Formats: sequence, structure tokens, C-alpha cells
Amino acid sequence: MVELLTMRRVPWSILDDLESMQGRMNCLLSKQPWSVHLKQGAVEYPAMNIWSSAEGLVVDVEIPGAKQEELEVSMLGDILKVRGKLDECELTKGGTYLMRERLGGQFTRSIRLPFRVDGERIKAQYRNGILRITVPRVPEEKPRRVAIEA
Amino acid sequence: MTGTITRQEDESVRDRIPSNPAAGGSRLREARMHSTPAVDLGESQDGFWLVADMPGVEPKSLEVTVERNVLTLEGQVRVDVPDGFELAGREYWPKQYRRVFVLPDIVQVEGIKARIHHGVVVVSLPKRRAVQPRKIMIDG
Repeated sequence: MVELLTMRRVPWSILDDLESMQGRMNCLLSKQPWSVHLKQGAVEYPAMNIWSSAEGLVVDVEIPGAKQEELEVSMLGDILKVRGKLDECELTKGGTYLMRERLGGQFTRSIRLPFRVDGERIKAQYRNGILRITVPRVPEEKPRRVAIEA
Repeated sequence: MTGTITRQEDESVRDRIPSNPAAGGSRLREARMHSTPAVDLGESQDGFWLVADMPGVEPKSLEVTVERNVLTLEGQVRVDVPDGFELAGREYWPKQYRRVFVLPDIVQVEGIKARIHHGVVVVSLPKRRAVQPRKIMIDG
């Protein structure tokens, strides 16, 4: 028998709270006319980072080890939904686990977007375990600069 | 047949946190950038396998090193900021993944192989032939 010695990963650090506070401060101080509110502390899976501009949003989703054909991005009204399945690695078949920390199985996550979306032009790309979804606004909802008459 | 795979305590984090608080917050922040990837570890007749989640790590920025019996996995995440966009919400941070394992003697170090696909690192660690169970033919 092979005996195994492992130590637990530290699931929480005091710095996590500082980071979450910093995130909220950045949100307050940023020049954005609006912001997308994500739950702080990344309790939900998968974790997301959201970038915005007048053109729309870019949503990065951290999903290591999904099969591309099993990832699904859909838009219903203003709800963007990501679904997928994390697959077991082939190597692990026919052996025994000594330690398991990685998540497995199916996941779904939805976020509500702050504007109407041009559904036809949504794009998604899966690279290095990050799913990048590009969500353009409908042209009528893009911010317009109003000329001030003298 | 005995052996152990031991996870070393994350020295990468510990030795980077300044013992002198006057050293400032920037180094402390740098320390937090090190992240411990979630790992599955398993064993079969022929060897061990190790699977680590490192989303955002490109193949070229993954480093797997073995020094004597210490296996180190390191990966740097490059954040690809979309042109003209500003960050509106953040749940994960750019980071440097790092995790260190002490291998048992029965691992044949020369035969270790690693690959990364979709942000998941798979390392196979074959056992030395001498310690693999052998089937003995029975005459008669």
C-alpha cells in the first residue's frame, strides 16, 4: 500500500476580505455610468470577470477542463446563462483517488445584464480554461453624446 | 512497497510575506498573487497521476520542474484585457499558480510527463519497474 500524507488547502485568507473591499471601492470610484454587480468572494461557480465599454460587455468565465462541445452560452431577455460540464480526466479511469480537491459535474450560472443585447452578435471563445463571451449592446442603447447648443 | 507523496506547505506564499511590516503593502499584495491550484491525485498499478486546475495558464507559461524528489508546478496567468474596455466586476485575480509536492522514491523521475489542456495540467508519474507488481507464470 502506498500511504499518503496531505495537508489541507487553506480555503480562506484574511486578504480575501481586503480584496473584496477593494473590488467594491474600485466599483465606486470607476468612471462607469453603471456597473455589473457580482457577488463578492466568488462563492458562485464559475467565477467571472466583467469588462465594459460603450459597445457592450466582455465576460470572462473561469472554467478549467470543460469540453468545448459541452459548454453552452444562452441569452434570454436580459439574462445571460452559462452551462457546462466538467469532465473527469481519462488518466484517472482505472485507478484510485488519493486526494480530490477539484470540482466536477454540471454547473449553471446566470447573470442579469444592465442593457439590451444584440443576441445575434454574441460571441464566445474558450481558450486555456477561460470562456470569453462578448456581448454587444443594441445600437439604440449605446450612450450618445448630446451636443450643447450655444 | 511503501512510498509517500507529500504536499509541502506553500512556502511560495509564506516566504514572500514580509517579516518587516514597514516593507510596505505592495509585497504583501504580491504574495497574495500566488495561488494554490486545486489538485486531484491518484494511483494506479503503473504510477501516480496528478491533475491541477490552472485556468488562464497558456502552455508556454506553464513550468513543471523536478529537482531530486521535489515536483513543482508553476503557471503564470496572463490577463488579456479587451481593447477599450474597463473592468466592471471582478471575482478572480491575475495570479501565479504554484504547488510543490515531495515524491516518493518509487517514482521514476525520468519518466514524468506533463501536459496542459483547457487550463488543466495533467502530470503522469510512472513507478519504477522494480516496484510494479509482476505476474509470475506458473509452470505445469
